[in-house]
Amino acid sequence: MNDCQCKSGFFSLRDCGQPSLGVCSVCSRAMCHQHASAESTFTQCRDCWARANQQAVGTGQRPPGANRMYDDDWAYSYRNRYYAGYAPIYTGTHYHHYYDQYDTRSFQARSGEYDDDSDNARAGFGDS
Amino acid sequence: MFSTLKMLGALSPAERETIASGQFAGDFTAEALLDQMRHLAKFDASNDATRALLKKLTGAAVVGAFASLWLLSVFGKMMLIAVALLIGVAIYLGVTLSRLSKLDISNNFREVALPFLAILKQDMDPQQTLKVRVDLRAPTHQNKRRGSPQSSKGGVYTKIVETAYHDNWFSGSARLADASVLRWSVVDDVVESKRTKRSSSGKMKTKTRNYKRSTVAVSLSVANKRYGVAPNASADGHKIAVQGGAKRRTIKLTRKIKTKSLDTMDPGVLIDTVASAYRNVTAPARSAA
Repeated sequence: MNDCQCKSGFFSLRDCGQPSLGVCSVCSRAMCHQHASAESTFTQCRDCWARANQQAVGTGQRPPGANRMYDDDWAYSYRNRYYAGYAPIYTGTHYHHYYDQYDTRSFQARSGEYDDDSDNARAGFGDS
Repeated sequence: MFSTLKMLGALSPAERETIASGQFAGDFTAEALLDQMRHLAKFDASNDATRALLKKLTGAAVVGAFASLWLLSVFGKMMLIAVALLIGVAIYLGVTLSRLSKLDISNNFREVALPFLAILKQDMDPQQTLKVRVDLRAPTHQNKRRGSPQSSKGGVYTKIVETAYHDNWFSGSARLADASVLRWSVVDDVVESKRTKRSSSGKMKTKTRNYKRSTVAVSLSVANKRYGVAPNASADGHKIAVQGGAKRRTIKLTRKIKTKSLDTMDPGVLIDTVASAYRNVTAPARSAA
């Protein structure tokens, strides 16, 4: 079975990589449980549900503050709106045209160069 | 009202202790943190709505009690029952209002911290934990007062009392899925100005105004082997500084926002500040590898 084709993240986007459990009824991408929208009864991916939700808000079919508990569906809806003015860095390796409209700053992470060690990762707010 | 009291009864001892201490702090996975926060936020939203209703009902009961006393002379002792009943209702509502007021959580918690952390969760690995501290007390809580109230006169005002508050209410740090380390803090400095003047009718009237300056500070530490930092780092409306290291570079942003009320700031301000830091992140230079 294919891996999930959705992208995770907000400030930077990355490949999900989880095994898919189904296909989005709108965009036909493979999606995992994490990327299936609960509010669409798991028939749509969170991205498609977010886009549809944005249009529903725009046409007045859904109030903008309907989701006040800030769940993942809300976060994806916010992300879709926010990307109108923000180009996230894409660090994944699986291109998909679905995200073309997000205008990501794409580059591929060079495998083997990733280093998690830090010399000043605990730096505070004060200027040096 | 009863739904709020039911929710209050359903709060765990740990949640009650958290509210009583006025501090929400710890090291959590994003999912566990948000679950706890949503539970408290739901209670607080219900609490706010109930207290607004209780204020109206308590006022109505008190007015009704006085009206019944006045009607005592007209309708006789039968009105005594109504007076006693209304006084009893007013006392019950007043005690409930006082009880719920002690459990009030600053709106910063559910209107700023919760949405920001819900966004931050998207950039974290599920098993990764983040440290967070949220002050649940009101910005003008007495423990946040700085110095003594300053009293003066000016213009038409016979008395102006200004009190300063320092509210360091939100801070935390998280390691993100792209190995960046994000730190943030939000500090509100509030000046409460109580101005008293004599009105044209001769009555003394006092108005309260609040001036708030919010300082949002974000520090994004990125691994050199994963990201570079733009050579001419800049951010509109932010003070920016970049510190270099052999393995990491740190982008520090500070933004100050002034408002003339105690209303919560838009969570988008905090999200925008982090986004501004990420806007200065680039593909790493070969020499950095």
